Amino acid sequence: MLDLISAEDAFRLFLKSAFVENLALVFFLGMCTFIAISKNVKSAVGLAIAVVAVQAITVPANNLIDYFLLRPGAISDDIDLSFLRLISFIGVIAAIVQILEMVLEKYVPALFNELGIFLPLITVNCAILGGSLFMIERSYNFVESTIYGIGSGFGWGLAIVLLAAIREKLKYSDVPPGLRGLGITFVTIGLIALGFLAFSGI
Amino acid sequence: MQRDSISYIFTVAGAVCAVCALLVSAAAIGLKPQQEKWVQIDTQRNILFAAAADDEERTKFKKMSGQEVSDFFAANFRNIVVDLATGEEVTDQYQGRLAQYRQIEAAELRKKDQYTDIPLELDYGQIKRRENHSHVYLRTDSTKRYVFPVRGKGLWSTLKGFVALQPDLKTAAYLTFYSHAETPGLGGEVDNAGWKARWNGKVVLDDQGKVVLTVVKGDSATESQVDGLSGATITSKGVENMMRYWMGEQGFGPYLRRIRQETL
Amino acid sequence: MSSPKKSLSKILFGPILDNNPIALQILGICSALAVTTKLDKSLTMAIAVTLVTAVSSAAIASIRQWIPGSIRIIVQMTVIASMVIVVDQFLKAYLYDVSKELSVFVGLIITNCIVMGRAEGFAMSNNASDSFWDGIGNGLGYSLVLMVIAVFRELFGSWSLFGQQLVSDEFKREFAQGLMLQSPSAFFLIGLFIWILRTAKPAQIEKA
Repeated sequence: MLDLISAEDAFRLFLKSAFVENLALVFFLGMCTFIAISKNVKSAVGLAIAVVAVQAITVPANNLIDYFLLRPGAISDDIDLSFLRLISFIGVIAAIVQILEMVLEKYVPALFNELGIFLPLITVNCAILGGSLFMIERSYNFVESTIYGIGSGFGWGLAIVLLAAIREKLKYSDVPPGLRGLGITFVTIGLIALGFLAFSGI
Repeated sequence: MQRDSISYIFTVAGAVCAVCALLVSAAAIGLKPQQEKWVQIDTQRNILFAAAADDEERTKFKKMSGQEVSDFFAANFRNIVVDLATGEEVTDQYQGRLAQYRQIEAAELRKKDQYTDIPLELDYGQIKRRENHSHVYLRTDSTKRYVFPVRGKGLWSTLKGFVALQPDLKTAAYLTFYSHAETPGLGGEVDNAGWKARWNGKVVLDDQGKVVLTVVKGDSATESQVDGLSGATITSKGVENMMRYWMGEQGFGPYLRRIRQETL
Repeated sequence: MSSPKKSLSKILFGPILDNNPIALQILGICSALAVTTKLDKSLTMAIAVTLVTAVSSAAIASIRQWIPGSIRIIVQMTVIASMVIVVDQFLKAYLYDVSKELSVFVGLIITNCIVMGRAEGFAMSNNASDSFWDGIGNGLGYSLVLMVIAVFRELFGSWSLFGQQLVSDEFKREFAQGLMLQSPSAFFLIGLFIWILRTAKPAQIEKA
């Protein structure tokens, strides 16, 4: 299970998960929160940090659960519990978010006050569940899933901070009435995604 | 019972879990045979693709229904299992569960006694572990083909596919990938029909059984060189290394040698 | 509920244009965009989401008076997740090719905000049959946006509909817009869709 990977591969995986396969801009994951919380940079940064933290913990945690319990042949050769992946992963994510919230509240109340309101949102964020499901689909091992978790969380966070920065400026521009709000936000995301497309060439 | 009492909450939670568990398990178990049938047909279709005589036949295979694929496969293919280290056929050990033997899982999930760690200097394909036994598919009708499952690392992902050799066991006929995540438009073109068609007739092994095939940049000058994919050096190199590993001594080399000697 | 017939049609058709879950409430777009490169993928996804929303809403509505408030969310989640797994298993068994292309996105219906939103917002306070139709209605609203975007992306991206190529190979090579199959086009199209919808129904325009 603990296959170490070379530093080069690790770096490549990080780049890929953060930029080339950006969860928000290429796979459209976590869009609900992505649009709702990107009105100002400060809360976007808070949410971004929370997503990186949760993603970095849940993807490897789900990897362990899958390795020891769910994958075909994990318990014995004839038992295949892979159909329980969805429900177990969402349960693990909900539990970890809850625990993280309690730990933060007890030991780092300052940080909790900053991030606290974002944590519950993360449970129902498809980017988090999506990260775990992609980890399975691409059969990452434990080390790879840790890197993938950090990378994909970072990519998602970067995208939301970028969008928030643009939307702050957008408040002062004259947008056609029908496009105001949601419409122009989508067009903006499209433009950012267009920029990120350039990364697929590296 | 009080609505907010702990025992009431536990009862409701337990009941909901029980009903859902029953539903989910029933669906999963009831549908499992049907799902496995499709997975098997999918594999067979990929093997058919690799073993097709020409593009015309490949189009025919593409249009076949699932049932037709499995009928055609049953009628015209022989599925054997070989011990990679010795090259001997060990199909008998898998009586009745041939289709259930998943060789990649045996290596990746480290099934006990079913895999070998590859020494670092020989691990051209960067796959770390190799299963001890591998499927080989023989097409036995008028178009004779040997189809070998192969895999190796590209730029982003492990490429998994099938290589078909001509009956002389030295020349390539086709290769196909059923799973990869290379950059669309660049490395992703490994799956492009035009590129795969260039493999037909390329010399993979010389008379001594040494792998001579290379993937080169620009024009291929000799019959053992294949044009690389433009803008995808690492993926092209990955395909070359994959062939070098699987057609060499670590891979199907011993088996190929044995069959060549037998047919001489 | 003086005239049940009228309220049923309102429950069913309201979410399609007047109160579209994607265009107005920004719900459920996570999965909506990724599957729109091909019509058959989007249609399967649309049916799956509609079914899951309708059945899980009905199930939750029919047990709503027994659900304790403190574990309400987790009970809803369990019901929805079970439904999604059942749908996923059926797809794998009977529509293998499409389910392979949909990959993780079927699983992600669990976190689709429409399903959860209808369960919490409607099913917890209405009866089972109304909740069922509400689920169908919201599913249809979702399906409409999905299909419209998919038609554009498949038509201009690969000049085909439902996988049937409509033009000659030369024409396709010359005019296929590869960008339509990439992610940014989906964002632009949904932006345009919202623009058109809101111009037609000015009541939906957001205040500056």
